[in-house]
Amino acid sequence: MPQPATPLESAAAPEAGPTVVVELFAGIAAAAGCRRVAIPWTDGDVGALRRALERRYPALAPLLARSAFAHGDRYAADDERVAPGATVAVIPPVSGG
Amino acid sequence: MAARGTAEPIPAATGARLHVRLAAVPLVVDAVRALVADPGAGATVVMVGSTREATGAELTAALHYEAHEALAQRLLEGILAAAAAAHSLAAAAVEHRLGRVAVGEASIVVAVAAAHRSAAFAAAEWIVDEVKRTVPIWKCDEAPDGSRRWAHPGDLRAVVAGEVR
Repeated sequence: MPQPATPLESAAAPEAGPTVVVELFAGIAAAAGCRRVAIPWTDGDVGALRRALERRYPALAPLLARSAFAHGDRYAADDERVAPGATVAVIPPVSGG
Repeated sequence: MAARGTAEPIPAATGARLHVRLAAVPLVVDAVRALVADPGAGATVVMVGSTREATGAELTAALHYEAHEALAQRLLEGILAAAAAAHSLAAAAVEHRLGRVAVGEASIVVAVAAAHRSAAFAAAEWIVDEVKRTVPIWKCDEAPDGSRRWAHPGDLRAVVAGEVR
């Protein structure tokens, strides 16, 4: 696989309060250094989660701005609510085929 | 990783037989073609995408693919169903590789069967275009010196904003 050395979880200390788990893929996972990160979360929508990720990973902001989000097996609009405890995926621009 | 995907044909509203698979094992082109064999088909188009040894001056040793598998599977099923409805296909199949794909190996196989060739050509091209536009699969280019670079072209946020599904 492309990133055998990429750990599954962020090396940061576990968050104490409610969180959203964000799954990372491809170039975003490579740049973040992990495939899953917990973001402190009380409530908000996908757009708020996008901004929280940009604050956590400022170097990734340009790529995050071109990325979509997915909830389960569906793309999620920026105004879709994300509940505490949810798992959401960041989908960077695709390059299959 | 074992091969993933649907073992059984997906029922489509049109009655066309559809098949989607994401596979970490080499794709077998003849097997995908056989999946769309149909007595009502006068034309079968098979499109094979493979790892190219160079893009311009940049040499490629291999491509590495990964996917958001649940979303990719569902979107691929929807793309085939839409193509089948728009082009009256008898059957359509798509398989995409995951993991390392060496130069010359297939990364994607699309096969469609229709009554006439114009529909089959159009459907195959549209399916590949849609895969490249919306399906969460990514390639990482491995150069001969071992360095790797993920490909993230364009603005997927804008693409899906108008058609979240």
